[in-house]
Amino acid sequence: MTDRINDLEFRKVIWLWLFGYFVALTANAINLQLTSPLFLPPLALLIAFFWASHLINASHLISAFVLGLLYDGLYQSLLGMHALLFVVFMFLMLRIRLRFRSYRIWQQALLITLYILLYQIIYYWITPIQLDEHSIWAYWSAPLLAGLLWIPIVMSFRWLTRINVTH
Amino acid sequence: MVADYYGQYSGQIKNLLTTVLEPVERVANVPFDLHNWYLSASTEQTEIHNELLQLRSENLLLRNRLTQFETTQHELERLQRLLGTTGRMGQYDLQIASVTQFSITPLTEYKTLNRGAINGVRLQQPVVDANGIVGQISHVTPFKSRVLLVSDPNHQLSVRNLRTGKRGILTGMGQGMTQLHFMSTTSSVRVDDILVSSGLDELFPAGYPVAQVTRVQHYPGDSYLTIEAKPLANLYHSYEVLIIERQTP
Repeated sequence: MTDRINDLEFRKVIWLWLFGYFVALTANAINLQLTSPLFLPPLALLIAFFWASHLINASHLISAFVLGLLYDGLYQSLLGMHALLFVVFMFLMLRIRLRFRSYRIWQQALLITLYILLYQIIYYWITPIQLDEHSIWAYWSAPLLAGLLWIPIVMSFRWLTRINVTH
Repeated sequence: MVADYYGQYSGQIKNLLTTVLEPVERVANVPFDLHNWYLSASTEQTEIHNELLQLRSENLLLRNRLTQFETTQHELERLQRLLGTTGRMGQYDLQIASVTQFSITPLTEYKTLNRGAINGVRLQQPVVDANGIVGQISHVTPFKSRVLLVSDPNHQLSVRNLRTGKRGILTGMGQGMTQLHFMSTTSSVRVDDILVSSGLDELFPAGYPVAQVTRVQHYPGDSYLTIEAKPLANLYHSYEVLIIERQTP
């Protein structure tokens, strides 16, 4: 079973792949409309990290770029800003993906926390974001939330992948 | 990124992205629609609700016209001084639009309207509500459009102080606030002063209320005052706005 998941073929999970990104974008879009929004990390990037570590025959840089452009549209940010960030972080993930895949899930979550912390630092640096005393905690707790979300994301996508591959 | 920042040449690409994102936003709206539906169903007063909506629309138009008349009165007081520089108030077509989505977070500030390119909405059209200027159209898809709010850090607007006639640039600060720039330390600006659009940018009609000054500070050594102003438009709760179209004479 493990071999089957490790040697995933893209064509077998293409609908799950698309569905995952759609759900991630929708969740971020819902979050933007809340009156007291949480600082959800870019969920599509987390899902892209999952696929990068499981679909090892593809580079995922183009999908990261396209997702970044969609986030630019969603957040009304400078065109290409999210795209560039996503590609850079995807590249960092691609460099270590084989090692990353062999880590225990809590170790992966820790690394994701670190990645998203770096992401938030760069985002804070390059955007005219203004945080008040309430939102500053929420903003800097997003990496922690990303780490916590990583565990259910991996477990649910592994389960869905297994169902998709076996049927 | 450079083209977008300096030249805004990427408008079509952004419109395309917003169009692609429409299904995502529609699905994202479902929980909020359900919540609203539940609230309206629980009252069991749908007819009254519809009538209220209609009256609100009419009220919005009338209050908007009243605001224009009020500002015209102030215009007359300084007509000799201002007429030559700000230009005349033109005739405008108004289009009512409903707010289908809004987001005011430190990450982004926008409203999505239910009017798009097929309704004749174009980029950079001013959007107002009964109280003042809301922002300008920044993205247009066939069926929807997005408004960049005056409080967005990427938004700038030429304004003048209604009391003194002094002009400045109003920039969004995020968090639903704006900052007035280029007011020299010798100029008279007080808390509660009303800022109206100057019309110099040729985008917004002159004389529309924009914001009210909430804080004025002078830091020693600075050439300009640090002035914060709160937008008069109801950025958070308005669900109907007016899109202004300037008529060519």
